[in-house]
Amino acid sequence: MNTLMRKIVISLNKLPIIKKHASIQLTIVSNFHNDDILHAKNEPNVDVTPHHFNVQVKIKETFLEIVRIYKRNDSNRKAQLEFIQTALKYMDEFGVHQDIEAYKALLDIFPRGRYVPENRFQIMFYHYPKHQDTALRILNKMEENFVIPDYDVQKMILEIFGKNTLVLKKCFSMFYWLPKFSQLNPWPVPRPTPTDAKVLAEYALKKISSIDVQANVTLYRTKDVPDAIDDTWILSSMSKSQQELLAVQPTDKSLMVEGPFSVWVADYYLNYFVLKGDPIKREVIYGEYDDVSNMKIPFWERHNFKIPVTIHEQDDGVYYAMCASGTSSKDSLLSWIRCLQKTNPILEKIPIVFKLRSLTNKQLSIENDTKKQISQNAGADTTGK
Amino acid sequence: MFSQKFLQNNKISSLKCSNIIKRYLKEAITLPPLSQETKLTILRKQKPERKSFLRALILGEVDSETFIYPELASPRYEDYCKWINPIENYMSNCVNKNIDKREILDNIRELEVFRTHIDDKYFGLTLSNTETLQLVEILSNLPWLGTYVLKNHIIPVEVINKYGSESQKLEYLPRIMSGDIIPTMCIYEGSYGTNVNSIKTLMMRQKTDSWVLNGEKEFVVNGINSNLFLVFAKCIAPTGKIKPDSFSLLLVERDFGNISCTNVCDTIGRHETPTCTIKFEDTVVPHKNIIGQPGGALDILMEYLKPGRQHITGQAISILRNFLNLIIPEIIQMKHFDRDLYAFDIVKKILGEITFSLYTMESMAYLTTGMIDQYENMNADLEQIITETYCANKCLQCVQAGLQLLGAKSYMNNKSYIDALHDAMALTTMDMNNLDSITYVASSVLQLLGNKVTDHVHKKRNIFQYPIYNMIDKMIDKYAIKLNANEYVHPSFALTLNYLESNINRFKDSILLLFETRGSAIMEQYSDMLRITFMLTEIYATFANIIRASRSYSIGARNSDFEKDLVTQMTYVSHTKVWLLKQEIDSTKAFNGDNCYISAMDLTYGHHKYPLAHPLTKTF
Repeated sequence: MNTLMRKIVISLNKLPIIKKHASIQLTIVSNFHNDDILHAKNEPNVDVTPHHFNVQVKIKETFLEIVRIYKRNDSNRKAQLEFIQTALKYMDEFGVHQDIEAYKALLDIFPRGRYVPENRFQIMFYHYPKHQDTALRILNKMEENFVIPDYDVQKMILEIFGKNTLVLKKCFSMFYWLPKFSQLNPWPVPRPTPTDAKVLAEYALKKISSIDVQANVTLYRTKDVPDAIDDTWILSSMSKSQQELLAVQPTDKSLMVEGPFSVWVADYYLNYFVLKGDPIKREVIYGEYDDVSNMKIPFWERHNFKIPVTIHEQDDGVYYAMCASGTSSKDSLLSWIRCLQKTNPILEKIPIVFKLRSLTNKQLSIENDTKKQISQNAGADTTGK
Repeated sequence: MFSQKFLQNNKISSLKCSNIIKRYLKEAITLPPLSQETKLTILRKQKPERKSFLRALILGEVDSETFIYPELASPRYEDYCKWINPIENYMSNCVNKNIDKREILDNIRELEVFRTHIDDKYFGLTLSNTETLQLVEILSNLPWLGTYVLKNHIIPVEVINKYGSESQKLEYLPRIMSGDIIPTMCIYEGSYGTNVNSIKTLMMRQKTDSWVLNGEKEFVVNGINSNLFLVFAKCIAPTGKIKPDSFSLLLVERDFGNISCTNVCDTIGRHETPTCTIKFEDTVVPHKNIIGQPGGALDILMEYLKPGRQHITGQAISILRNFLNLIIPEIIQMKHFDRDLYAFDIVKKILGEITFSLYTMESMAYLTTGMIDQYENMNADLEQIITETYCANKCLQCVQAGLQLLGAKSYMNNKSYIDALHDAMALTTMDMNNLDSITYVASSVLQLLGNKVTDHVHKKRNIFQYPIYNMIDKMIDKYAIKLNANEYVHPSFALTLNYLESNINRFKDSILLLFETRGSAIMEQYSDMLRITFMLTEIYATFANIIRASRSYSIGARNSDFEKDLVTQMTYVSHTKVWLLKQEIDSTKAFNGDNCYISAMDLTYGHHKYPLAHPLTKTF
């Protein structure tokens, strides 16, 4: 149905009458593009805030209050579409973009029963297109923020637009897919996402080290370490098998601390470092499975005093430990090694090389510009030996 | 004819029956003063070495001797009875009375229990395996006493006897007999289990004739009261390097100093023999106290860690028998709604299963020990492990089933029921490890059969290189086993023998199939090995029952006609069980659920907890 409308609009646009009046043509084009191209709709223009949303305290209660006041004042719903679209833009600012109640309040602005198509022609010609588009925009915003609609939303849409509309179809498809996606993440982060960097780092380390079920994430404090400059936290992940691997490491070869590498936790981006060594040379023994004579009884006749092969041995080296610290500074990494020495005495004898790509002394930020760190780190050079 | 055969060497007075009668009579006894040490007639000379019965069965190499249930020979048997009867009477007197532990120990020392297992040369009594089994069974009427004698006498003395030098034996064995010394084994460190790599107790040479021992041993049975520790330690070479497989076994006396008992574990049962942690700090051990060569005790360690050496069959039998005797009078008196509980067929079925399990346990246990006694250097590790595992597990299962029958009564604070459960639990957790037993039994059988069928498996696995061989093999079962044993048992058991034969053939088919599909990688497939062990246990249990019942029926033991019927029918039941197990192996791990369980556990390990959503969870 939408394509039909588009074709009509495009052919209308080519009419000679309309071509004469450039302003009308421009209006049609901008409407046609749903404001997507001519200006970015998601970024609210900070300088000019519409009077509705120009409030001091931007929290959920005020947002709902604004919607309520609007409904009271504009009882004819003359400017409802504009209001809803503006409200959608300001939802992030009020922190209600993941809150289903706010979306319900917005949907509730539409009067009931008026837009329900009453015959098949109305259904065919996309009854009240502007209104349906606006409702779809609300649902799209919900989808972007992984807000799963509930039965109330479905009921409201049924009352407002009826059953044979695109809005309800969209709502149904969200009902089908979003619950399926909601539990897919094997490393779930609670919602709303915590903003404490330490908590996020714990999620990140648990996510990276989940390959080894024995992995142990420990929290160290640098103030316990003598000579530490920074006062921060260090989260370190090391498993029993990694400790066993490290214990047999020759003391004449050095280990490397490499990083920072990046990991995403929900919307946030964090740095982590690894303690790495050269790959262990192992003799590959290919079993002869066809020969069943002289098999050895496991444990009693076939002892294994060697360190078993683990997932930590990769082609590029052996990964002994991982950490994330509050400052990501070289000093905190040094403190990390000192902390590891308590449980792994052999580290006192092994020389350690710090091979860092860039040294960021900033506090790990979780503001909007975290995403920009990627581009900074991408161009960073190898420093520090 | 069979009766005749058995009557010819008829020295059998029905041991079981007389024991039971005595126990129930509870005759008042007075301990006769022991003026002189008992001497038993020397054991019968052993027959030449041969394959163990179970190995013979699965290889299909049976002969007449395989089907004779072993018995004790005269006049040793009479001597032994004279010696064991006072012990039995004393023990039946002790049950359910609050007698001090020390008093009981002193009394059984007077009854010469602590002379057992010490060679005649050192003024001990050399008991055969069968006699030991019965001794443990009798002592286990008080379960803690059974554990005490096993852990603090029989097992350490066996190690000293087998590996110790002449001077060590002369020094320690008389003191063990007199009660000066209570030995115990110190093996486990860190975590309980058979992890050889975790042993971190170290010994270093101090002078030419002494060593320094450092380390901590956990799960030492009765460590508080013991004063001779048999410690496994790793040797440090003079260069400071530690070889991973250089173990030594040391005899450490408490008087050597710097030994402390740090931590007495709080166990749920066995409070009379507490489990503790023993710590050695710079303990100086003289060179003469090393058993064998320094650094050469890996074999001793492996021998000790082998399943089947813990002598717990006697304990299991005794615990279950006492439990059954305890609950039967209760159940006869109990009412369920308006009827007597004992009259329900389901109650009879559960109790009947317990009875049959006890019967099987006895037949397996005495067949195994008798077989080891009869032949020289008998390698019966398979039978020992199967018997031990079966007894310990069945004991626990039956006690649980029995407790459920008693219902709420068993949960009340009546100690004797719960004690039976705790004692049975200790057998499968503290004394043995099911995983170890299963692995060992299955892999030694695979090893045995692998050597026999290696050519066949090679050709079957390379079907395109040997097409004709494979075609012929489809038509002819060349490894089919025929027992032809009808002449060795009573003719009434001809049918059961057919079932046994069919069981063995199914077992063999399954193993051949596993070899074909997995090759030598089968040694890593523990869930299939579990099934192999179950099948083998069924086979051995059936075999033991058949020859025991055949003997009883031939000599006309009490209720032997019932024994015959019981065994005949239960053989058919085990035949079905083996068939089910074979079906599971045939359907491979894609269809018997193994794959599914494995991936379920991978998921659970990843979450470190139960990963599936609660049935009431909503996503929206």
